[in-house]
Formats: sequence, C-alpha cells, structure tokens
Amino acid sequence: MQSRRGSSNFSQPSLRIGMTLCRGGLSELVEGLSNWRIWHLLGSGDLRRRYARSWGGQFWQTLSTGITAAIMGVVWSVLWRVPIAQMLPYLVTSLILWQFISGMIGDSVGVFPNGANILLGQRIATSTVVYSMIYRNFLIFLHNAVVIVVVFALFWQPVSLQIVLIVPALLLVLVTSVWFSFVCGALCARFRDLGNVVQSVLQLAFYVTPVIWRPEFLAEKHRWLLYANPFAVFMQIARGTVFNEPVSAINWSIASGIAFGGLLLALPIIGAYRRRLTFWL
Amino acid sequence: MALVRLNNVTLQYPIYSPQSQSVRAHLFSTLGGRIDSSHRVRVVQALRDVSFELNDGDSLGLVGHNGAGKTTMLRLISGIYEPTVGQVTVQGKLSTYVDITLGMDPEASGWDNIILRAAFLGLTFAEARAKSPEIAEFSELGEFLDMPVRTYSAGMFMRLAFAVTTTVQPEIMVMDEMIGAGDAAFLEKAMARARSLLAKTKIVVLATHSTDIMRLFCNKAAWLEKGQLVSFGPIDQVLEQYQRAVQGQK
Repeated sequence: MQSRRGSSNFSQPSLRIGMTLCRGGLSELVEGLSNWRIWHLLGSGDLRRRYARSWGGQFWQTLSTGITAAIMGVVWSVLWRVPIAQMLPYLVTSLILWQFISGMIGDSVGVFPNGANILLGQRIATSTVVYSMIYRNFLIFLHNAVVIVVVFALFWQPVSLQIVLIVPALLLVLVTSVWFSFVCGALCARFRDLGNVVQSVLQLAFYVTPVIWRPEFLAEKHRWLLYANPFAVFMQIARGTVFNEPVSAINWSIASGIAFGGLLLALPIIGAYRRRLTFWL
Repeated sequence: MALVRLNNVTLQYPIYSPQSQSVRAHLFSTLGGRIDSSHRVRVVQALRDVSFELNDGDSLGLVGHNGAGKTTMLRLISGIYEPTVGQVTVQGKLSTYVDITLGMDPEASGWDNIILRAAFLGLTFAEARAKSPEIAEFSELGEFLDMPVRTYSAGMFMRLAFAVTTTVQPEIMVMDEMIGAGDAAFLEKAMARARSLLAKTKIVVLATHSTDIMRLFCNKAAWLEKGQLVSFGPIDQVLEQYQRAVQGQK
C-alpha cells in the first residue's frame, strides 16, 4: 500500500522531519538502484546506438581519446624535457580519469531535464536517471581504460599489487558522484543558469588540479591546496594506485569523508526534493 | 482489493518565469532588497480540495476543458506528483499509460525494443524474453522485428508498443486517451485486447475527449473545472450535467 501525504505539514518537531527526510532520501537511492534493468538499458543505450551505426562503435571515441593523449604526451615531454616514457603513461591515465570525473559532473547539469519524459511518464524513482547517467560515463571510462592498458604495455610501465586499490578508489568516486549528481542536477533543474556556472567551474578545476601537471610541481608551502581541492584528492587516490605512488592516508580519509559524509548530508535534501523536482521539469 | 482514495487533495504547481529560474536574478533581488513581481514564482492551484474514492470495479472517466486538471490528476494518482495538501492512498499494482512507447529506442531492433519496453513495465529480462514470441505474434510485424524500429512506419511502431504494453496486467490502470493502435484491421484486434485487459483491471482512470469512448469503458465520471471537482458520480449523470453546461456556454 502506498500513501502519500501533503508535504506542508509543519506540526512535527524538526528533528522528526529531518529523520523522515533522511529515510526518504535513503529509500529513494535504494529504489533507484533496484531499477537496475532500466538504468542499465538507458545508460548503455548511447553505446548501443554507436555500435549499431558503425563498426567498432564506442572504440572510435576511445581512439580519439588515445590520439589526443598521445599528442599531448609528446608535446609536453618535449616542452618540459621529460622522457616520453615517463610523461605519456602519467598523462594518459590522468586525462582519462579526469574525463570520467568531470564528465559525470558536466552531465549532472541536465540529468533531470533530459529524463523529463521518463520522470513524467510513469512513477519511477527520480534517482534512476542519475544512475543511468553515471553508468553511461562508467562504461565510456572502461572503454577509454583500454588506452591506459595499451600505453602501459608499450612503455613497460611496472604495475604493483597496489593496483587492486583502484577498486575502492573508483567506488569512492562513484558514491560521491551519486549524491553530488543528484543534488547538483536538482539545483540545475530549478535554476537553469546554474549549468553554465558548473561548466565554468569544471574548466577552472582542470587547471588547478594536478591533471596535466604533477603534484610535486607545487611548492612545499602550497601543497595543502592538494587536500583542499576535492578534485585533486580523488585524482590522486585513483591515479596513485595505478602508478604505485604512495597515496597518503590523509587522501583516503578526505575522499571517504567526502563520499560518505557528503552522502549523509545529501540524504535529507534528496528526501525533500525527490518528488518535488518533477515540478521543475 | 484495489483502492484509490483522495482526501482533500490540493496540488499547487509552481510556474517559473525565466527570471525566477535564474540564480543571478535571485542573488540580485536579495542584495538589492527590492523584489520585482516577475521574480516571484507564480503558483497555480492545479487541484483544489478534491476528494473521492474508487474501489474494485470502478472505471472513472475524467472530463473537463483543457487545463482543468485532468493530466495533473492522472499524474497525481500515478504518484508522479505529490499532493501539496491532503492525502492520496493507492492500493494495488498501478500502471500509467500516458505514453505507451516510454523507454523504446528507435535505433534498436524490434526484438530489443520488446525487452526495453518490458523493463519499463517492470518485467525481468527472463520474463520479457519468455513473452517475446507471443508479443511478436500479436504485433504481426514478422521479419520487421529484426530491423531497427526507426525504419517502421508510425503505425507499426505503435503496434509494437501496444503489443508489449498490453502483456502486463495491472490492477489499476491510468490512461491519457484510450490505448489503441494501428490501421482498421489491427484496431479491431487491439480494441478486443484492450477490452479484455480492462475487464480484468480492478480500477481504471481514463482521461479522454471522446465521450463515446468514455461511455464505452467507464461507469463513473469526474468533472473537473479549474482544478475543482464539479461533479462525481455515475457516468450518465455526470456527462449529462457536463454537456448541458458546455451547451449553456455556447
């Protein structure tokens, strides 16, 4: 049985309302997750269409990512006089990870308006469209990861057992992405000019985050910036595991804090707006 | 037992002007201390203090002018919208057929689209595959099912959507216009299937502009005017009142 009551009920104490909203947010995320068939089909739809229309499908995009990374690697290694065998694997890994993270944030801007026909066509957990967007980006990331493997093989870059830590690192990225995309997507659905701000911030973040430069380039007294910038934190835990670099415990704790602390703070927001955001579409 | 109950439901719908959809405008209006009336969100009362109850065997037709609140009512019962005030209680497996092609992908083949549409209807992949042959047979699309749906005519596309959609038997059905599909020959078959589906559905809510279709499928009617329930009751009685009012205006 399903019973829905009006939301303008202020007679309850605020703590109880907070708890109810938290539970609402949690059930929203769980319900969306349980729609895996729908978000799997929606999220893989883009890739399926690419494969349907051309031989090789998504791998054409992978190829273009590979070429961009290769050219940048060569140019950078010449400019900074770093051996290409050192530069290229680093740059390729960085760029592909960055594409994955920034792609999800960029797509979160339109995640609800783009899913309007689904969200208004039948009752469905609103987070379903968020999961489908993340899933699509993850599949593209897996395609691009082929470039990383190829480059590592070409330059015989050693990989240690630490590579298994890529799994928790990506999990933290994904957990963060779920709550952030929902909140950011809801805000951008309500305030349509916010999307431009998000895109500008992403562009700026690309330069202040060690994507094409190394954290060591930063002077010792400015290193704290790497902890203050969430992009840098996530880039470092993900990339560090691949490169057998020591990833500090501080980085892991900040990343976990953002992922799970953020999730906890986002739950009441998600609970409060999960149905109301259908009015904004 | 299925149940749809609305208790004093009011639904307010915010209408945002481009101004109020802008963060910049919001910031400047608070900084400036002057609130332009265009910044304010206009609130439309899409439904006002509506109460009624539907039980097993009730088939409700919604009548009213454009903008009277019919679509809002369908979305409210479906659970797409939440009431602002009041309570909506729904008991039973509900399906919304506002768009029977929901989830389908023009680039995918007919067979794949059966799976796609079925997933949106809540079927598992195994269930969808098991029902595929029967759906294929009903749709009469034959070899076309191997081709991308974008190559279909609009009629063929609707046939497939109808064939998949009607394989699921809900307890409560919410429809915007009567579901149906195709050319004259198929239409008859589609109507027969729709009728048998509706006969097994416990509660039906249908919004349609055709009073003939409404008389055919509904036994109750609700007349909405500007979000308010003007009249609710047996179909003949409500439709008579409604038609008298419409003629009175002319």
